[in-house]
Amino acid sequence: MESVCVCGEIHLPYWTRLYWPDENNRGASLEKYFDEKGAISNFNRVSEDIVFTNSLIRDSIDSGGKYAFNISGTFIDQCKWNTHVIQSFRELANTGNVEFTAAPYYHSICSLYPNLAEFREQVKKHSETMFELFGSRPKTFVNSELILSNRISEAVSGMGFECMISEGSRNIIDGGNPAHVYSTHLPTLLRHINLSEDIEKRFSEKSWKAYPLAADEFASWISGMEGDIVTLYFNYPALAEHHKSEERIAHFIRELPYELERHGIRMVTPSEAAKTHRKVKMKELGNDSTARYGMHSMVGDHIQNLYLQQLIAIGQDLENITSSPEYGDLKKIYGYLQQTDIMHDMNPANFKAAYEKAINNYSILSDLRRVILEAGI
Amino acid sequence: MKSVCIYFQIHQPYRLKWFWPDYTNGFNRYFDESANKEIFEKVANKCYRPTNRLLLDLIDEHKGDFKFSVSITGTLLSQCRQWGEDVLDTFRDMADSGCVEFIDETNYHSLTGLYEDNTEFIDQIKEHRNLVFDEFRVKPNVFRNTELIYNNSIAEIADHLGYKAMLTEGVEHVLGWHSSNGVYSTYKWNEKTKQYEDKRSPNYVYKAKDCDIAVLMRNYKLSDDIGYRFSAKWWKEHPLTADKWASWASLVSGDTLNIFMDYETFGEHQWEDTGIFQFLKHLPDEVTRQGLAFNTPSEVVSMHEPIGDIDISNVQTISWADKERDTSAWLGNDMQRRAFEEIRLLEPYVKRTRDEELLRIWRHLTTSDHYYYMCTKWLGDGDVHSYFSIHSSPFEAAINFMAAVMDFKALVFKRLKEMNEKQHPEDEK
Repeated sequence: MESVCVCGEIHLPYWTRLYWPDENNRGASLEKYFDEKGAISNFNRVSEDIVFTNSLIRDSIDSGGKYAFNISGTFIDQCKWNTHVIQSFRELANTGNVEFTAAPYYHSICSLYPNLAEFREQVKKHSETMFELFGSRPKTFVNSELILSNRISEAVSGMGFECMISEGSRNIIDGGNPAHVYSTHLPTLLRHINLSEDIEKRFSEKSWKAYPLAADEFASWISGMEGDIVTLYFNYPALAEHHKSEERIAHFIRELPYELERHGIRMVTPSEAAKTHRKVKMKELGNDSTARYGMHSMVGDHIQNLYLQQLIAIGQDLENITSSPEYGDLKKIYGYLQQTDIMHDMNPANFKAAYEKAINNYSILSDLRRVILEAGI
Repeated sequence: MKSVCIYFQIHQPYRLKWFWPDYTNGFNRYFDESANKEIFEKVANKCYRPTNRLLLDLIDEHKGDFKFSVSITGTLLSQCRQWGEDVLDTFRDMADSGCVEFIDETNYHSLTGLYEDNTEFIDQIKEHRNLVFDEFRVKPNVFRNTELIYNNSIAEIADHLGYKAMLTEGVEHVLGWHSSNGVYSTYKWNEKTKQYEDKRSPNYVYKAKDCDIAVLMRNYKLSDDIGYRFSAKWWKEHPLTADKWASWASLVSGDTLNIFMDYETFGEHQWEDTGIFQFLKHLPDEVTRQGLAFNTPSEVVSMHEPIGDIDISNVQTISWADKERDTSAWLGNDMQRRAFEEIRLLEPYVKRTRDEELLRIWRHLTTSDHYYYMCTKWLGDGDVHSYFSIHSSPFEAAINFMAAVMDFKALVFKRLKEMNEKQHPEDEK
């Protein structure tokens, strides 16, 4: 093994609230459809953790580490509630050893729409936001839920990205090794599921046979593996959760670059990896897209598909009112309603009250669509 | 002579299809033509055809002594016209016999009686009244609301529309003395029965509070003996025979025994092999043999003066559904209340489109059955709820209804937008 690429995802969903149709409130607004109080309290819980974890990453960078961050637009929007968060990412950006990736702005499901205009628009919006905040244009693209398909990879390549991160799931590599840079329409890194989950999930589990995992052991596992590059992609706030149970994670993060180097392994950013490593041809992807473990949890259910169809229809209605003064606000609400998290919870296999939640979300969608149609009047 | 006053509810809804936004237009975008046809044919063969035949024979046989009343919803009449003209003919024969009283209800068997604004409720009643007149040349003067849903406001509207009487459920707590004050246990002297009673009996004529319309209360025990318990093996009276039932009826005191039930009791809720048709066949003989007379609701209210008021405020609204006998079968959970609210709020917009087809779709979405399928009071009553539903669970029924609503709502507002653009073409860019 030559390199390791570590990428943390930072996204906090903006959940829909309990909505009730009301003739006296016929406009559309974020507060009308979304649980802002809940979002603020979630954000407050997580934001200080992130600032703290960033300080550990800073130490790690000082000892040779390189990192990538995929920060959702939804999360960026929430950072207005605590400006320290962006500031601490800026400090990491200033080290020059951090890459910020681009993604659909609202962590949205839009890459599944028959027309990719909304997808392109959101990716562009996200790229520009990253540029404004951190001063460089993202070269790497990461789709929501790491969804990959031939069509998406083609679109992303067409937008000028040099690299993409996706899931190293069985349906993509078919028993093959995720530890290569694959060539689709652009160089593609595949998340190493097991090692990523070791960090994200199992690290603090006392029943885990590798507990307590130290950086040198982790580095020696990797050095013993076949391949060119291991891509670790995980939910970033999970690191701070580990830290709450024991401080071992702090040592792990600080020592990782050194231990990897001791095993002859470099830490690289995704776009560096795409440049340096040979490309292994990925067998042709069909139109069936893939999320983390297939698409079942996202669009495996009739309820989710009905919601998806309605999102697509609303997108078309919105295109008829681009000159309306309300367009910007409505478009933003539309963006948030596309979050994959909302989709995920409308499947009874994922969430117990999926039906009730979906019925509530249907009401919201249909109310928004009414406002959009009326805005055109 | 004590009356036996029989009333049958005859209704089938237009069920929704398993909705998907495809390119189908109009009514069939939302409603399942083939499932509705199939269910109609099944029920027509098992119930409507044989029961109509039997009842017509009994009417002939008893030469005016056997009478009953029916309300046939507009949705069922429309299905008869589509798929069973012969069924409609036998209903016409009933009307011509002079022994069957036709009763009005909302054309769509809807919940519009619970809307704050009663315009649509009244429109649907009038639509039914006109339809019954067109089909049967009779003008009903008794009203019964969907599933016997009743409160003071509904009674007042029926009174305004000129009906002489209204049917509802003989709910125990409503029949308590001073029920509006919540005092049920006071004993009172009953002039009629010459005894002290702890509550009023459903077996008399009442009137609505603050208006003159007479109210007939269902005797749920004697009604459910036939409609619900008839084939129940666990029931100690099983099997029920016509003479046994008639002898019970003869022992009950009062002026009228109001026996109200679903028409589908015959052949559908109670299958032919339970002996339900034999029971019905012998009922007229056994009832008359016990010295009781068959009378229609109009006859009963002209024969007897009301003995008291029925006072039910809107929040206490009653019905004949489930154990609760309130509106919880349709509006008991949030999914149902949301669906109800979404449809109710659409009314002015649908009407503004002046599009007959949109209006027709919307009106069929007010049909109570859709909301009934979403009921989650599984224990005890759930089996009843799922009986005629095409859905495997109340949750799926709710999802499906809301998916249709979501789509339909967009259609309405798109139409309004088009109308507006036609009116103001200069605004277009």
